[in-house]
Amino acid sequence: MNEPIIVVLDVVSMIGFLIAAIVPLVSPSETPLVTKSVRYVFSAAMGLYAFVGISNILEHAEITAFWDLYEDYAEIMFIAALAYIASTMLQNQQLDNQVKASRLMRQQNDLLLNIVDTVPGGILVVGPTGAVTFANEGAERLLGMTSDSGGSVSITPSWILLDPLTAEETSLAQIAVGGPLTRRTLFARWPDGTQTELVFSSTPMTAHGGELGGSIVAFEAASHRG
Amino acid sequence: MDVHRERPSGGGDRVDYQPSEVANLILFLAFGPVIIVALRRTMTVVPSMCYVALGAMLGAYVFTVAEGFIWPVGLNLLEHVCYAVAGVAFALTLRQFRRVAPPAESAR
Repeated sequence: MNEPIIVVLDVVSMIGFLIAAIVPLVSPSETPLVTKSVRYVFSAAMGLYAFVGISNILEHAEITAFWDLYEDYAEIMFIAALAYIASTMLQNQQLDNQVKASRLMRQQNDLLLNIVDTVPGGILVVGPTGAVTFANEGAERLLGMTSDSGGSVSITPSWILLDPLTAEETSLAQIAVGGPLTRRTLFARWPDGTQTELVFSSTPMTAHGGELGGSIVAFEAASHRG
Repeated sequence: MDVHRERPSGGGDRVDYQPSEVANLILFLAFGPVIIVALRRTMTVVPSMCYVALGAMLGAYVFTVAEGFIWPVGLNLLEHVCYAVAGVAFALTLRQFRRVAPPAESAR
């Protein structure tokens, strides 16, 4: 009695699922979440139910029930495909968030490097052993340091730091482990005997586990008025 | 000629359902919430037709199992109504999705 109505409903269902299966294949739009694989699996899932619709039409139109045997597989695979799509979209979102965070971090890092290189004074990152791991352009200019692309910093020619209060030699390592320093005047004595008066400040860095991880050392050439 | 597939009984004298239909319903009940949670987490606006489509699929699975117990003719009709609604709703979901999807600029 209901068979003609059911056939009509199955035709509607088949057309709907067929459209849903074809549109993602012909649509070029792709987002970070809905990737090619998601679109293909969605199309396949919709195609499976288009097949179920065709099978139902044939069955309820009293043509053949042969394809009904395969409907169960199609239905099970449909749910599995939807679950795969959900899981993949979640993973794609996490990946997209990571990519965005990494891009943002790179932008912030570039901005910070630009700021550091724009500062006319010198900025150094000194490790706990006294090794200089970073020097900005100001430091390279004032203290004759050179940085290579690998991140190592070399100092040529060799100067020595003199503390005018004690008249003793000091070093970047002592500054790095000596705690915070605010505007302390030191002299850099060059091999040819000339001296450069520099004002140093430093801030200790804490490494993992709370140990001292070196210092950020900033300095500028002293300016004398009058 | 009766071309309808015989429904192997799920047990008992009065019930008539296929085990695969029950398995489908259980799977959908298990994964349906996961699918909805995933959609809500990943999309700023979930197309409303998506809910209609998933709801219709759930209805179809429920009716196809229930028709083995009660009112087989009516529930079978409702099952096919649900399939029709689901098909149309999935097609409309794609139309809605194109409007709410993030801009292609961020696509890789």
